[in-house]
Amino acid sequence: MLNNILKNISPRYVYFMGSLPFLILVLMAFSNSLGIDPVKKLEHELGDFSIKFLIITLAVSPIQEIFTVNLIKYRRALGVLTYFYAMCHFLTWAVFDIQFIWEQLIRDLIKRPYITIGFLAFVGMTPLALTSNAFSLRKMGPVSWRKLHKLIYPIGLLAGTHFVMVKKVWETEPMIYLSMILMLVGISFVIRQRKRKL
Amino acid sequence: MSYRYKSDLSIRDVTPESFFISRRKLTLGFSAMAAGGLVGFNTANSEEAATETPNTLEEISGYNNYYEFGTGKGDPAKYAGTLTTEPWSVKIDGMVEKPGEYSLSDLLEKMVLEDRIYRFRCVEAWSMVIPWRGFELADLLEFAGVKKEAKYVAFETLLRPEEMWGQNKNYLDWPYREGLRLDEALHPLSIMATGLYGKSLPNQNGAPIRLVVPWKYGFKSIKAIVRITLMEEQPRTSWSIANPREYGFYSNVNPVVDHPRWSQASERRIGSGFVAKRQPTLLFNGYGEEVASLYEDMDLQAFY
Repeated sequence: MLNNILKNISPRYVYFMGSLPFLILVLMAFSNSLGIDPVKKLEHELGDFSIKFLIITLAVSPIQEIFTVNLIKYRRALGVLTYFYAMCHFLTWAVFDIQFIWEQLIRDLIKRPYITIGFLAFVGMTPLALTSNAFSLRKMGPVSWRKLHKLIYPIGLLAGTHFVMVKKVWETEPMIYLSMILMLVGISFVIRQRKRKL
Repeated sequence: MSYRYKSDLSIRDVTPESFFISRRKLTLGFSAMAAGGLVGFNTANSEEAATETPNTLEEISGYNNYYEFGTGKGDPAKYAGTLTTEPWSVKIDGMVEKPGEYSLSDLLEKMVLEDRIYRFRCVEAWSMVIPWRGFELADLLEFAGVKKEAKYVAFETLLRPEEMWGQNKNYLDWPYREGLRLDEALHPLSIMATGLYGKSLPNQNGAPIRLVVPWKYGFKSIKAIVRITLMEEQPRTSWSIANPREYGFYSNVNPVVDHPRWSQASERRIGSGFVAKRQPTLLFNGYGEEVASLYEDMDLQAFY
């Protein structure tokens, strides 16, 4: 039933809906409505949307297995949105927060574990984003393409860890996000193990 | 008091309470973003960065770290209204001649209130300029009569989880505690603030009485104080209990002593929006002339 409805909904709507938060944030920035520290607000909101899209992306195959709702055709759009928000999050930090003070930027990337881990997640996602098109899939062949895209699991764990570590004390929200990622990675792993056995 | 501190910032440096939207030159910031990595406005060492841009009451009272009311910067403004600040009393105990539970209004009658405009530097590498109203901590200590054996002053925030919801969470080991070495506490720059912009402190800024030590990171300036204890040994302090590697007892503003989480070399002045240039952080937050002598023989890397 749900699958029938989904048949008629193009992934383009996911791109459209997914870019709305970005557009709203840009509008808010231009209209001075991001609050007292707009730089941090923008940085945090972008990171937050990235991790939200990451979680939805990771949920696609468990949802298919458990609820038999097929969202696979939206997964690429969700993944690309995850990367887009991660990139904006990183750029906001580099451009507006650290402001290209290279020495500080590089030292932060190396010396501060929460930044290093977040940056690794972003860098790790880059080849996945770049190969998120039909051409790359054809060129690479489905086997090695799929192998490459399995990287999203360790990347997801890095991203969740980054969010938890950003906070100075143990906070509930990032812990919930990390637990969700752990759960989804776990379920995907179990699904794969089972399929292998069959 | 042998000498009273004179601020290098005058009332002219203070932005009126009204909110200045014109200060936020946003468009510029975004054209820079559009140009992406090509622009690069690294001016950490520019002369211009040293100019003071004082903060509005809205900024000072809307952007706070006060984990008793939540960990978000906007949380204290949202939730601190629940705190009852009257009546209020401060217990002064330990190595003092006149220990006791003093009502705040009685104490204030004995103190001379004055306005002090200070730079305020958070350990998270942001800063503000704040027009406090308060009295010198030294005056209060003189009133209480510090005994010879005392070497440190410990402070405690109110513990009242029913009015401070964050105290129901295990963010920190409540109540919040801070401390100073006695000579730091007696320094004329150390004040007990009771007001902002000539009015009473908003709850989120630490009403009704808080410490302000402008050459140290903001978390040293403990809010809503109910207890002051003079002691011989160095008191334990909340953030260094939570994470001793990251937060030390002294926590003097120092651009060359790196914090594991943030480079302390530069800071962002709150209130200048997207184009705010990072400015270099000054040793002792720019109060070196007044306080450097306190630390003459100390290794500031080891005693961070």
